[in-house]
Amino acid sequence: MVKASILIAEDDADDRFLLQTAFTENGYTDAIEFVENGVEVMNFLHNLMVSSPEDPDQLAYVRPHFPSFILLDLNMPKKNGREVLKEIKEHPELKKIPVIIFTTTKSEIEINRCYELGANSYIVKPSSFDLLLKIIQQIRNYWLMTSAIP
Amino acid sequence: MRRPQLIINIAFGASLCILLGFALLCYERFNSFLHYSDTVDKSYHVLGQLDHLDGVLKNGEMEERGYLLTHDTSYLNGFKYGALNARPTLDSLCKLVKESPDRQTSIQIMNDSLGALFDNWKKDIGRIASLNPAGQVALMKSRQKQMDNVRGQIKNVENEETTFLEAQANGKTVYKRATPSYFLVLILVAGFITVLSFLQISRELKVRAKVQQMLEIKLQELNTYSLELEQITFAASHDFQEPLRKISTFSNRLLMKYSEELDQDARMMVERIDHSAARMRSLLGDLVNFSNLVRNSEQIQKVNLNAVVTDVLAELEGKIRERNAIIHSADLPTIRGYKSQLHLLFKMLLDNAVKFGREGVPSIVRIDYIMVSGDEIANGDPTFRDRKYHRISVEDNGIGFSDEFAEKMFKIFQTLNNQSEGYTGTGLGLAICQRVVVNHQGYIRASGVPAKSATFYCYLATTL
Repeated sequence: MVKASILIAEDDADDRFLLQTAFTENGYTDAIEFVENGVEVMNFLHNLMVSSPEDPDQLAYVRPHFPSFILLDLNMPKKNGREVLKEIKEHPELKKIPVIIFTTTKSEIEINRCYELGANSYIVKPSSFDLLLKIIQQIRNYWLMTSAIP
Repeated sequence: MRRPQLIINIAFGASLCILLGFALLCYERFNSFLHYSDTVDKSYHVLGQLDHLDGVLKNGEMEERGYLLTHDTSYLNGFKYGALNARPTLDSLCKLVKESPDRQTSIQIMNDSLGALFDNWKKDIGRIASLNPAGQVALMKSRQKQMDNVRGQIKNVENEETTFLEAQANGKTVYKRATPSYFLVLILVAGFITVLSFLQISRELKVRAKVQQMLEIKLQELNTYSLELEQITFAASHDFQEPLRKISTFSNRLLMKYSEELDQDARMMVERIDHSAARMRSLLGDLVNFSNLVRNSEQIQKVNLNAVVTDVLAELEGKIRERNAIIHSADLPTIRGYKSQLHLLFKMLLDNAVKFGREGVPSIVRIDYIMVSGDEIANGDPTFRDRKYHRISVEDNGIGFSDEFAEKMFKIFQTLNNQSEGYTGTGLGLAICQRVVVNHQGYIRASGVPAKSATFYCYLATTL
């Protein structure tokens, strides 16, 4: 089985527990990295930088170190999901990481805004565990198996 | 009309009248002075002419005497000239007094006598030289008499003219004395009215300023409320949903993971928890819908109601099939309105019509349309009366309701049925419908027969 690294930004402990359970229940053993707010997302990504192959004194992002995708909650303390999304999608390297918005809000305005900012997918948090299992399955299948990373 | 407005109107009306009065008075005064100066002018002219006539007579007498003494006919040339000159003078006199018949009569008399005198005189001049001294004296005497008579008449005319002039002067003085007091009274009245209206207007302005200030404060309050409402709406749509979602998810997880360990009772309890959470979620959803309607940020556009009904029917397909419901829709118009709100309106009405069907009776729902005048609604409220309305009615053959509840149904969170009877509603559906029609400057009413039918009439303004 493919083993991927996934970054999940979620401030709610219950949701983190449910997501972790959903991955485990589905039988996935991916390396899941949980962060609790937007600042931590950016720090995490920043820490992925290594010495540039061209110029050893310069730090640079290297593709193989990127998470396979990011599950991003919109409402988080310190720096919210929209700001993180904007920052990632405006960055020349980081924008290559698929970002999946995973949030409670289902307002049309919010959905449109996220797609405008460059979200790769928008998923409303389901209200049953069954559905959560299915969603995790589908997201993972799509972004790890179906879609080709550029 | 309001009292202050009335006072201001009256004050301005009065001021205008006074102004007109002034103008009229001035015009009249000016005219009368002109007339007076004209009259005085003419009178002095008349007096001058009379004086001239008197001169002519004296001159004639003098010339005649000169001729008699010297027999020099050159004296007579001057005489003739003087006698001829009297004619135009008489004519111009007649013209000058032509508007007063009294004076004209006396001038006419004087004129006649003068004419006779001149005629005789001319005749006498021809023969006077040939008469003996006694004859000459007799002739002279008789003429003297005639001349005295004429002089008396001239004097008479002169007196009349002087009297006339004095009368005119007297009238003028009285008039002159009265005018300033008119002006004074008018100015005082005008001043009083001006001060009065000034006070009234400034008081009115003060009241208005106060009202405006109050309105501004209220507006600010309203803005705050609406901002808070927005925050509550956001909280309802997001923050409140989170815990609910978790209740559902965890109860679902509980059922899945421990299905073997849970007995029937425990399972039922968990299901109830889940059910309650679901209900709360739909309540919150409707509350968000409702508060979005109150804010009403949508744009007005042309909406084809047939298309809206088709969309709604597609959305409710499951429920319709479940209830074996048949929906008949008349041809609906394309109207100006808020598309998503109209969608919500039809969804709520049709959902209700299907939901409240009678057990064992297939639901039949009719959607009808007619254009009506505003007389039909709102107890003849004048704001509705003069307009045309699209009336859309949705009729079902369901459990119906008694008309005494027809008003109550539209209140927020009011339901007529107990949840236990199997009819689930959030209690917001009809409140949402009402808000939608209010946003369309319309009106909604319901009428029903228990256990038979329910009809909802939506009136949407055609002038939106």
